[in-house]
Amino acid sequence: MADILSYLKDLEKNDIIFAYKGEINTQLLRTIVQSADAKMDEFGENLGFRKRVSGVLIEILQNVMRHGSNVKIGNLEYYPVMIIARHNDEYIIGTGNLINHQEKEFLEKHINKVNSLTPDELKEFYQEVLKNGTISSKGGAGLGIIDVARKAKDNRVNYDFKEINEDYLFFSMFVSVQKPVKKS
Amino acid sequence: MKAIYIPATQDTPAVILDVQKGIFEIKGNSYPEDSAHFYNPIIEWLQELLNSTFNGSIEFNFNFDYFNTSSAKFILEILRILEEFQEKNVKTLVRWHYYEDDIDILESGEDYKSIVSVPFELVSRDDTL
Repeated sequence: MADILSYLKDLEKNDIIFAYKGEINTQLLRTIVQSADAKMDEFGENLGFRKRVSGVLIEILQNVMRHGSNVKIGNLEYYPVMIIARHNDEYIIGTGNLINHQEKEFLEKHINKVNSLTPDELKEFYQEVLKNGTISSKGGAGLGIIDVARKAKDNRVNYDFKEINEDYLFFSMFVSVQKPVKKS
Repeated sequence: MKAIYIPATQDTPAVILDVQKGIFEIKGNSYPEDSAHFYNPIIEWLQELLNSTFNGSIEFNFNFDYFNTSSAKFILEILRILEEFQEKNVKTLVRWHYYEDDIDILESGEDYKSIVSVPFELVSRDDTL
């Protein structure tokens, strides 16, 4: 899996709906959600699908807000990055931010577990974590990734870690969101 | 008890808790950064009602467009309190509204329905009207 910066390079310019580099705050989150929704409306997406994409977007961005602040290493300043792109009727949401090794350990274990589960197992895992409270120190993230996986294409959360130095890694995360299929 | 009326914002829902009028409702979007700050007063209000001599009935309407996972935990807390009302023989009904094409809100309603033991109805609505 490629990291978000090389992925961004490969995307067609027209595919990108929103790309941003910098610290993400509540005000910006609201703006991104609004403009992504307006864009999807322009593409003629139905309300149910727009709500799903917005939901995944909010969960992922709030995750970055909790964990990703800008870090200066040597002469380089590392900021969180995020993109929303549309490709073949799917919406791709990607983020990248610096994390430490302890966070990597938690994230890698948690995402691998989430990716190994069937939809029914994911539902069970979601309910279990919801009932038993937070599983990460900063709160929320544990349940957030499960929720994102439930709504993602193939229930899959893609990720990549690139080591920056002995303290920090650059963590990229991507999901694709497809139109939900109505259960009969 | 003093009623609670909170207007909706882009990321927090409208809340009405009014014993006199018999209205218990949360409606809209819920993705505040600090969910505890938003939900704690609501939970305290319900706890106070639970500990009072209230002997009416409760029809609690959840009418979400979207909620994030940190709100999800507080929604469960509200439902746990409603469970306690039910145990105290206060007639309690949860009505979980969802837009008919929104399978995510429907499924989260099904999740809650299977977690708590309180009468629980899933009610579809048409947002395109």
